Amino acid sequence: MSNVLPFGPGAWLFFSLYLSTLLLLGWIGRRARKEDSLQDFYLAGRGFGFFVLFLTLYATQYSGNTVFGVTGATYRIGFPWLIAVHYMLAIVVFFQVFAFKLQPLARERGYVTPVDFIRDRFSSRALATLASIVMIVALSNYLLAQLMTMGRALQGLAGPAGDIAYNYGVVGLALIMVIYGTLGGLRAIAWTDVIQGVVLFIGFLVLLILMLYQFGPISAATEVIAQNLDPARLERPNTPMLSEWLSYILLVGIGGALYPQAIQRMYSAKSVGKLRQSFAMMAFMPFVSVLIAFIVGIYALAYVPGLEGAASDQAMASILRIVQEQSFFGYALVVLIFSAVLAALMSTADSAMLSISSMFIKDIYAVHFRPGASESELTKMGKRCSWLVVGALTLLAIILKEQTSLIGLLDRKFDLLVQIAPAFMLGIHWMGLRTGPVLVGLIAGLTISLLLAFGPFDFIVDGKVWGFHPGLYGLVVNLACAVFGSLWLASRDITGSANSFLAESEE
Amino acid sequence: MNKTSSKSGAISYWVLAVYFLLLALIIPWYWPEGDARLLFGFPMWVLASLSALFLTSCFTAWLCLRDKGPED
Repeated sequence: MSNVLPFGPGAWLFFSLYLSTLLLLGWIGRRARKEDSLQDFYLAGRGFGFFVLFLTLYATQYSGNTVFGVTGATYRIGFPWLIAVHYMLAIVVFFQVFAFKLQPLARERGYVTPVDFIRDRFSSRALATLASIVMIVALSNYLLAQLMTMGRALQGLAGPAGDIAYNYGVVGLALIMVIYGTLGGLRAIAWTDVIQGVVLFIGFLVLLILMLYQFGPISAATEVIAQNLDPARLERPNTPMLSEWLSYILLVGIGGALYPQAIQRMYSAKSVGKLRQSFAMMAFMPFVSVLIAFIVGIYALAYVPGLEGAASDQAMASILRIVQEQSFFGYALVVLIFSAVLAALMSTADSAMLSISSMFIKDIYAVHFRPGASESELTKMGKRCSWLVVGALTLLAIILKEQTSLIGLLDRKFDLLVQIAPAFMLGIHWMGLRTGPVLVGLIAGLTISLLLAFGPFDFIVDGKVWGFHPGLYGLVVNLACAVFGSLWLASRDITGSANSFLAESEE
Repeated sequence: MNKTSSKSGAISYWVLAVYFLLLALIIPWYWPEGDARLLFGFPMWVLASLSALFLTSCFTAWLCLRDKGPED
């Protein structure tokens, strides 16, 4: 790979040391395991304090999309893509709706996967299985996007040899990730997240300083845009785009709060207090991460003209390439930033991989295929599942490399994930919410979202209906079915299936 | 389970009202369309929207920290 990319031996030694540290942490995580159980492997024994919890939440939430997708979209759209900063905070706001109630419940009732709550709360195998499938599909979409970004990270720096670098990037980084992830489970992944979170945080700050040093103040970049490009890139979003802003805030806010890997980090917190402290810090992270990626997009728009379509997702890599060629100092800083990019990608991808594996094993395999399986057997199968999932998605990432822009992938994932919101966000607070209406609502919501997203309708512009994402239309119908259906059943005095969760909550 | 206490994780009506107000400030519908005046290199509507976002961050952090779990 060193023959392909314009990095020297020193840089590759640095990357190799960094990646070796991740593998070492995987091995240490394996040695630190306390028992051969799902809870130990997937939740690290529920012992994360503030420091580890905050950094694992941060490294997991800020992904390859933050770095490449946001920069690329800002490059295409200009200042109106400021919405990316807003929707990352919306995720933390929506966490509050259910996280502080779910965490103690998970500890008390031994939840490992997000669907454990749904199974416990609603006592429905059909609802739990459908919720698992939705989460696995949405998360596989997310993992695929991360793998594709790994390839593009190398492609953008490789110049003419980009295609080969893309394939090496996807395969090599996926392999390292799956090794340390299956060695040490969430414990290893969270420890690597601590390193990755720190590298990512420093990387973003260095990136900002580098832009100022290399290209001058942002006012100069804005002047270039004002003189050479469409003025709409500087102006307030037009009215249809304001609808899109609201849509993104709701869709990403609700969907992002329901990321299975984020819910499993809530489960792994030592206490609610540690979770509250971590979320308080997370509330300020958009300013030191996605806002900087947005500013880099503005610099790229001004100084790297001519990137079109999916190539615009390489805006970040292209601007780094310019900096890298200017001086040794610039080169050294790009090496550091590239490490931060790898950190963002791998810390998100490994968490998605672990969540998919846990849901497939605990919610599908153990329920439908091997109900009597031991914890040890399930843990072993979970590791095999991680290898299979990452292998299949790596292949798909190579096949689809020219197909989809990163923001397009992001939208479809959230359209699906938000349909779980009534079960989680309403179900945890309102004991009157009934199983049947929630299941009907989920099916209706998914059907509407998918029909609108993929159907041949003339009124769909840029994947949205009158500026709003299909998933939100599905969610409105979904919520209406769940709420009015539950109220109707209650008015007819029809009781839902009794379970221990409801019985205890009524005491 | 207690359905109204903030300590139980439920969000009260006044908190929702504050979030709606902040949301109305974050989305710059109130700013004149076509206005591209700059301040510190940023369009002014961007600075207005970011200021509202910063208030949202402060409010969210305050909400998170005002209650502590029983074991803390």
